[in-house]
Amino acid sequence: MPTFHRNFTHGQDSDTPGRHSPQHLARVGPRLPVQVAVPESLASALREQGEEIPGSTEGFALFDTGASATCADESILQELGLNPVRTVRVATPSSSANANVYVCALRFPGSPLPDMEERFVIGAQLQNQNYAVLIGRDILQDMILIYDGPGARITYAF
Amino acid sequence: MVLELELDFFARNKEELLRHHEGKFALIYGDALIGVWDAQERAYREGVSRFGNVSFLIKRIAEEEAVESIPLLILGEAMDAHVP
Repeated sequence: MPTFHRNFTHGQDSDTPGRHSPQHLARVGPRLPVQVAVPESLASALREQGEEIPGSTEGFALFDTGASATCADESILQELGLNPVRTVRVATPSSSANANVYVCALRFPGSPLPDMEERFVIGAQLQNQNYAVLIGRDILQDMILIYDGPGARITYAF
Repeated sequence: MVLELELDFFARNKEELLRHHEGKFALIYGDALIGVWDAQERAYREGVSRFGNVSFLIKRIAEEEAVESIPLLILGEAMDAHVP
């Protein structure tokens, strides 16, 4: 199983070593750049129909060991023109409600994490927290993730 | 309500689906069952291939509804009223 590191230096995070900043990691969280896009199967169907394929949106994905399922910001999913494929009951510390489930492509530019072309994700409001995606335990179940606070880096393998 | 027709179809036919296809994923469009697959990704591909970018339901055929736990989540407008 290949192992990868992501370092968190002053004001930025990257795959190359730099002056480490545990404070930066603590502030932004264990995150990776992510691209949210229309699934390739849908893009292919849209191409066949001569329809325009919406462009992808870039942001950050937070590794969230507290989340049982992966979430993506619902406004991004709606801008991509995606339709919900079902609803699911979601429990948070303060409430419980139904949420929409969508299928989207998740790609991780600059990271060896493989593209996920048809990922089922829960639509959620994440923009206030500056994340596009929460990577939940449905993805983490196939990975190893180490949070190294003093070393200001995360290590992941899959 | 999102996917109202499809969810109503699923509810009306749940017992029958459970008897024959428990644990699999149903693709429902309007008030018709299109098919049943082992993997939800295959059901999605079939739905997109047949109908394009429209609303269709992909639902696991199970007795109990799953509940996801997302402590960080802010519940959004698309979700229904909070339950104390």
